[in-house]
Amino acid sequence: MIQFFRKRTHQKPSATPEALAEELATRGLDLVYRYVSRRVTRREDVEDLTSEILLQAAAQVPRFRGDGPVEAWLYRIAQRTLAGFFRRSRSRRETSPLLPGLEEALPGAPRDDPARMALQRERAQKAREILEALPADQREVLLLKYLEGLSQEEIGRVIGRSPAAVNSLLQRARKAARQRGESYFLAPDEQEVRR
Amino acid sequence: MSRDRSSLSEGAAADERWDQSFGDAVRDAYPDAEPSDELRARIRLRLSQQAATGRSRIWHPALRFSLAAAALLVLLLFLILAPPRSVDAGLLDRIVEAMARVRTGHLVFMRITDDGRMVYERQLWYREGLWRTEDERFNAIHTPEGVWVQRRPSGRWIRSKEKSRLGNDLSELAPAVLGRKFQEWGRGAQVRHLENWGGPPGSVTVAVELHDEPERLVLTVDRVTNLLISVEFQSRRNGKWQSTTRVKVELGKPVSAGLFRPVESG
Repeated sequence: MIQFFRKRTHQKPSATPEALAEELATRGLDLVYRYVSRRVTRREDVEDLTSEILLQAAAQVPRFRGDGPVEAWLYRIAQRTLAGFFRRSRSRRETSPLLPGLEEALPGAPRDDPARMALQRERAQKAREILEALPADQREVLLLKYLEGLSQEEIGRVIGRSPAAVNSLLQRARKAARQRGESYFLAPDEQEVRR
Repeated sequence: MSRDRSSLSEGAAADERWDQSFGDAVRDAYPDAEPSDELRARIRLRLSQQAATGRSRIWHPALRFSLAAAALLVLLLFLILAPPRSVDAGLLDRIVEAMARVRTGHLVFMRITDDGRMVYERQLWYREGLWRTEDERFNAIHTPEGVWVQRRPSGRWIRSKEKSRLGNDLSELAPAVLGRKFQEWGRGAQVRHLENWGGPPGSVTVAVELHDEPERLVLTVDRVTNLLISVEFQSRRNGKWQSTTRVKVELGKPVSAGLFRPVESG
């Protein structure tokens, strides 16, 4: 099996097309599907876009320079594809309430503590509302940082900006997010102090 | 001054805690989603098709097909680019003529490692326009009405959205059609007899080559029936031809209809 998706690899893949297809159909699919499903609501759109992105990636492998992680390269293709999708649909990025039954999906949800569970759910809901209200570029860098776990340099590769520009954008995004939900994400004693 | 420094430090720590808390909430708000088995199967098929066509720019759009069938044709397609050359047209004609009568087929693909080991990769069956493919992870049945995919070894059969397109394309690859294409492409190839290949008794083996191409196709054919017995892909490495894939071919032998029914064969 090729090592196309070795974590944080900067190596240009040298696999056969069939082996590469296999990698994209497994690990690549998981990465891209998660990326898309966090940004698009309708399942049919998520599936179509995921398929489109992976096929584009397979076609673009010869142009991959190997100067950055494969993940960032894949997210870059995904980001561009979604930008086109949102332009075509002439709608602002979709918003969606938290799905009913989110508790089931909350990792580590304290099921035996209804109060904490409610707080966790409320915070998740609020975080989503905050992100939905941010400008698209600010929302994207926060999602790439918190969900995909990318560094500033890697985020820069995805959105096509320098690390310094990403740093600045992240600062602005954090500040804007905090202004919209300061109290939700502070411990009670800190809330008291800030009052 | 020290109080200022202390305040700054507390502020930075609070910022970090807020960032951590907000990050946790964001991760809760966007739980991981898993693609369905059907999507996995569909994308695997499409990527496999693209992988096959991606080997060369000469692939015709009409020649989209399954990974298994693609492997069989990889080298044949190089023949399109070649200028006319001397060729054993008689042998190719006989193969095509024989394949035109074929209504069933079973192909087993084995990868050949650098140290000469044979590793099973996939197989496919054909029966009058119906195809079944099996690889390590998926079974698939292709019919004119649709494509069904099953995760191995005993997953549920799922009808793929790609049904019509795949079905039509695969029908292009019936052995008879394959034979016609082989004849067409063979005009640009050199066909050389390999005297010491060591095929089964009553067989003849030829190498289909193009000038300067680092790959060639080795066909072993039954002298009496003119049907293919095996196909071998070879790459030139360090001046020697080295086999990379071997396809065992059985044409014209009984193939159970049950293989092409998702429920019964699953």
